[in-house]
Amino acid sequence: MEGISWSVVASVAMLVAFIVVFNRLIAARNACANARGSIDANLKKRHDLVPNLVKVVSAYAKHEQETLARVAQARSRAMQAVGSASSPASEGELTQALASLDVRIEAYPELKASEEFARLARTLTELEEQISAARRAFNAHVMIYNNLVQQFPTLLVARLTGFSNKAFFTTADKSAPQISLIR
Amino acid sequence: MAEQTASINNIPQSESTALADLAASLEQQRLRACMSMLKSVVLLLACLWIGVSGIPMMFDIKATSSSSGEITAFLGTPMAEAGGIAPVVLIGWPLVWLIGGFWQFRRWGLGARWKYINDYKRKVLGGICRAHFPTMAYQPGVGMDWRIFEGSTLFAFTPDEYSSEDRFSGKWGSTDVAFAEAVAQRQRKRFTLKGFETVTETYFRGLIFIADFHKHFQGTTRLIPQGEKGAKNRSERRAQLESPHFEAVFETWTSNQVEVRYLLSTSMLERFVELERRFPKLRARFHDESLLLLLPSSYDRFEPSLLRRAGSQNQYQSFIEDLDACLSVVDELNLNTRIWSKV
Repeated sequence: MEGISWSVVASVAMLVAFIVVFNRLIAARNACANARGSIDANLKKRHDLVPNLVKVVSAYAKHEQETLARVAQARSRAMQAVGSASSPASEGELTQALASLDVRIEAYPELKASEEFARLARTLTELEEQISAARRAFNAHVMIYNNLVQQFPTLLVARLTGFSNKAFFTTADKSAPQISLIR
Repeated sequence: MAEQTASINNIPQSESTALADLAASLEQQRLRACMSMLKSVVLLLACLWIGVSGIPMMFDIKATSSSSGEITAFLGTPMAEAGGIAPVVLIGWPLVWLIGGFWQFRRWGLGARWKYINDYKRKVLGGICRAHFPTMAYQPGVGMDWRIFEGSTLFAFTPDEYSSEDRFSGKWGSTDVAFAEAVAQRQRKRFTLKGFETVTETYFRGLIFIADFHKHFQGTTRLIPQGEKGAKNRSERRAQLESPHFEAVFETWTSNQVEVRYLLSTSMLERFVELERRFPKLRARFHDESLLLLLPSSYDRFEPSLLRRAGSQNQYQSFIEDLDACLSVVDELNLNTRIWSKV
């Protein structure tokens, strides 16, 4: 009788532990999804901003059509890649294109003095920082999630219920230039 | 902001002359305050001596026989009544002298000192502030409201005693700032061999510094020294940030895990670590688009000494340096950089 009651207690304890760990894994995965959603929302804002920026720049810098076309192409590729595994690489490409535009507009003081351009540039700078913040938050959540998936004893529950490692959101080029159209 | 850094050598000529005139009149006041202090101390000692030395004289009074043949004791009162009057006189006599001594010390000794300090702050410090930091306004008798301190939730307890003074406010570069000195105390019950006793503990002394933050944000983020506690808030969660130096010094609590990383960019993390070296155990709260800092300090700033001449250039210089050090927080945290949508 005593043996039976002990085994019941142990089973209940294991079930409770399983539920607790499973819920932690679910919470960690949802936190990652939420942070990923935040990155995508900010990337979308950046994609929406780029056409306005291109329009304002093309009004002042007529000789930069090639650079502007490259920015537009990079934007459309980045828009198509949102949410996919190739998103970091496409976003890196857009960042590179915007950085080359940033260098070129140095030669157009009227453009830099334009109020519309200043407003767009400030918004872009803010968005860049918000994307960076969202990426850092996502990576922090991924680290917590991956720790749960890889560490003992939570890995037992993770393997049984099909949780697998998540990839960090890393920019393709570690030395990606900082965009700051306002100086 | 280096060009705003001030020194005594670049006071405008007109301001310098006005300060010299003020200093001359305040020097007279300082000397009078010193004399009043001295007289009050002597008078206080005399009162204490009279009060205490009277007690043995009273004990010396023996029972004597009066002309009417009645046995009297204690200042001529009948023997029967002496027992009731003696304790009143024995306690009352020294008490009257003690109270009188301390009252006159407070009224004339400390009163003169307070008046000198207040006049000095209002006239000289106000003049220095106007000359060197024209965008800042100085109010010596005004401080930060206790609700700001208590509402910061940067400590796990609320103050039982709170005082604040020497408020500076204005615009430094592009940033609206306000700061003041504050002292917060709480009463704690302590168990000793004699039972419970209440002790007053000063848990914060320093500057309350509020600055408009250069980025838009909506949530709340608090930085608490590592290993210490702030008030509990159910809507906030711990955030683990990337910098090991920062994590060694601060615990971060936030209502928004993305926003905290937007506010505390990697360069801002390093800036807070640097600031913490200057102000150990500093606490910070980002809320309502502004940054509130509690910067602990071991000494009382902006207090003139009665022992230094009113026109002391060293004293002027130390005020300027103190004020400059407070305002340099804006530059250290790069709050004047306005490249985001908040202008």
